[in-house]
Amino acid sequence: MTPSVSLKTNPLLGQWLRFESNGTVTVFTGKAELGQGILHALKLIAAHELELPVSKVQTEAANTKHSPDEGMTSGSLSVQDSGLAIRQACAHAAKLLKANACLSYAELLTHIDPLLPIDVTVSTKSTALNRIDAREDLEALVRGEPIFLHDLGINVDLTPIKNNWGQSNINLLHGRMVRGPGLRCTLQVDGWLEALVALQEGVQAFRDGSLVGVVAGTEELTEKAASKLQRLLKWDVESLPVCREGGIDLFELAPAMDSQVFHETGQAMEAGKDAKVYEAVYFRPALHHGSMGPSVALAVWESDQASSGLKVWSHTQGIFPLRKDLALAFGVDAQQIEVQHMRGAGCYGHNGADDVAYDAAWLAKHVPGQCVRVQWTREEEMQQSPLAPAMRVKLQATVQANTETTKFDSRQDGLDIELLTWQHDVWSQGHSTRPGRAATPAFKDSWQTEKKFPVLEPINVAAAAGAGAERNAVPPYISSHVKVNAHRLLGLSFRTSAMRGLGAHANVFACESFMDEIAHDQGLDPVAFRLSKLEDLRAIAVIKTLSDQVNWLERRQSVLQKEGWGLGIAYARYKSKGAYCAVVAEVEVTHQVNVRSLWVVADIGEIIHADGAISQLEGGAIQSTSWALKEQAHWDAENITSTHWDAYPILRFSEVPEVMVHLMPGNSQNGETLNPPLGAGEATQGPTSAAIANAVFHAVGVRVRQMPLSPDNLAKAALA
Amino acid sequence: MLKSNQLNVNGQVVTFKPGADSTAFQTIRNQLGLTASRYGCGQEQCGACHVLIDGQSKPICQLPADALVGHSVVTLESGQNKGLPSTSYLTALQLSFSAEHAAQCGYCTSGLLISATALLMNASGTLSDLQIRAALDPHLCRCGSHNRVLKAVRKAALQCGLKIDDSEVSA
Repeated sequence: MTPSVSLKTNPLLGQWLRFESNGTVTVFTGKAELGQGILHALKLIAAHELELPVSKVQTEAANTKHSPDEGMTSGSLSVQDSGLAIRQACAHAAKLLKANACLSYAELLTHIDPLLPIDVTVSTKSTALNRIDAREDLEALVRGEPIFLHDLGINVDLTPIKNNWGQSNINLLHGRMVRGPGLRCTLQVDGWLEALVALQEGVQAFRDGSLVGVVAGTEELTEKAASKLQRLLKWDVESLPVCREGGIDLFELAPAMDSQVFHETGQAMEAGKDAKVYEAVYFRPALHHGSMGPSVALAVWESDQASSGLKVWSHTQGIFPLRKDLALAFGVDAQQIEVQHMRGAGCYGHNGADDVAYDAAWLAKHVPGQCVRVQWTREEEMQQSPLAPAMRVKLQATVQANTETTKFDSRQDGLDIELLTWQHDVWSQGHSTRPGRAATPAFKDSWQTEKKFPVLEPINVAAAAGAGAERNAVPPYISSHVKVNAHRLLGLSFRTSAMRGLGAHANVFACESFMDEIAHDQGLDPVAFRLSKLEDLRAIAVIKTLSDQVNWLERRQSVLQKEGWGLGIAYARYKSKGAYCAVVAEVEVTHQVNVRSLWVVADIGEIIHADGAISQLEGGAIQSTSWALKEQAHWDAENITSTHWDAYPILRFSEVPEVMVHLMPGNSQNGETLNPPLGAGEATQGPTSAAIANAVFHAVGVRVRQMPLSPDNLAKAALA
Repeated sequence: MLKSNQLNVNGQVVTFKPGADSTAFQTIRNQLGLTASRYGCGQEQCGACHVLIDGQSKPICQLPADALVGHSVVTLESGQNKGLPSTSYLTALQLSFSAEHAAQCGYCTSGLLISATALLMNASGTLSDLQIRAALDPHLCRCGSHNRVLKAVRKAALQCGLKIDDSEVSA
């Protein structure tokens, strides 16, 4: 097997494994625990390959001092990148153990050179792993132990905080940023000195350009000082584009657009006179990450010397990219900065973690030797974190029914329906402003300083990395001619970036709704139509398995006997090269859409930790249900106004559907070899939302092409 | 009789500095070091900070610390105190949450366990699925662990001798 990207970048055994004198093995990873249970999955891989009990293997949280550089924890790639590298390192270690006739890994310590490269030719185990050992961190979570970064330094015992230089019990200060009234605003400097006079004793306030923050000994003092300054300071505010419905107008309002042909294959066949042209436009509004815990960070500088070291504690998705941008922002060498990862609340993409790390480091720079903890408020989390961009998708297809040769039965299979052309146009801002990718820092607040680092325009990552707005824009279905045009909106005031699935959510929603629309118009069963247009056997197997599990044809008929109920299906292979996933949704439409049940079948390749994968797929399906039914960011002329949960409702316990998840076996069709793992974290996002829209159409005959499928949008679609 | 700078937390009398914090939440975390209550919104809209106040599950992110004086406060850290009426319910729930893997990131878990404890402790004989969902409805979970949480609460309820009324199962 080709070595994973992470192994190529970090080829030494010592970068991944440390053999302890007590016979246990410590595994290093550059991937971050985001609540998805990745550290547990990696530990299972290592234990399996090392032939050790899971209790003899430990993982160490990512730290720039000792972890391999694996970039971001994103794109459902952690098992493929980190897992396969760890597997290879462990296979090599297990071979060395035998070759050196060692009784334990402790003995192996004396036999190997720390700079030994990992032998990529050593075979890994061919037996399926599929472990069921539970995550040990659940115990700590249910006991409410202080395992989150949010708890660090807060506890009366400050010993967990040690800086780089071995000094412990360093003084902890609380920091808050002072925000202007707008999303983009400039401070009027003349009122600054007068405002400072009004501050209480014990509070220190700092300013650099339009960036303002305060520190004090308690949260209460800091919060009060921040609100006072907020009231006293004057700002010039840049207006935001007039918006309706989460950004439905942005496509007309964007000052510029970069349009490109993203993909084109085949040639359009000449359409017969009875060919039919379909066209539809779909919309996904801008969304918030909505992590349960607003972002937090701690930072301390060694001294006020220019060459001083910085330590930062962060729940970032990428410790090395964060370090790179901190170095750019503060003009220091990256080697002077240590970033320690500690878990935060569930993370589903580029949230405020990196930005608040910059804030903490910026404030801490003014008080060297003291540790500054910055906890964003809920309002800051919603306003300052990047948004998932609003997306518009237009689909056009030419469909030829070969009526001359068609018998009624074969038309039911869809085999005599040909997709002659398929064109997918997607309009969106870019899906990444992550740190580590540009020559200047990506932190929003660094753009406010006197130095005025340039505002970064959101980008889309390359197609090879799974693309951004264009992710899953290429349909999985056979068509003589396929063309995908991507239109990146430029110059808008919103900072947009990656959220679970990136463009796949809206693109799959559009593609799978469109397939349903064509099937309905042609009088075809949506499952049969999809199957007739797929070649990939694993895709076909996933859909057939799902169809069998829900007893598709019979349930699709019987569900209609209940007023307002319907059943819909959708399918996608995430990033066109990741996990295969099909979802059936059962809904009840009253004045609103109620999702009652979801069935998910996924082929994620080799299964490392079935329960972890099922949790990810199930959680993703519930999150996607929330996006599809309820979510839409909104703003006024100055700022984002969906700043709290009443203004940005998400799915609650009373609304959550039942979810049944089935994993396909992780081995190949002949059962002899393991399929490579494909990642599970994002596979359900697109198909779930699309299956819900298709079920709504089945239930009440209304095609809702605009998310969320709220009572308003449902009513609007019904009247259209 | 407790003084105005004393609180009854997890069955113990503790002294706090009145007026030092904006909210009871900050006092409990920052002064008492009981960090199981999580900061989620500061607006009583997400449930992450809930504690038991006189046996009822309540948010404390907007409550002044003084409002706790004279009341019994129970946090998730109370598990060691077997003498509290809530402990047996909390312990059963903690075990079932673990067994059902009823958490992904686990940030909302503390609040959920507190509300589920109040539900089981105050229930009389039978609980319906709708009652369980209603008790947990003030709590938000973004990872999508809801169904496992519901299953874990049902399981703990049975273990605590309650019955589950299945006739009222919502979809």
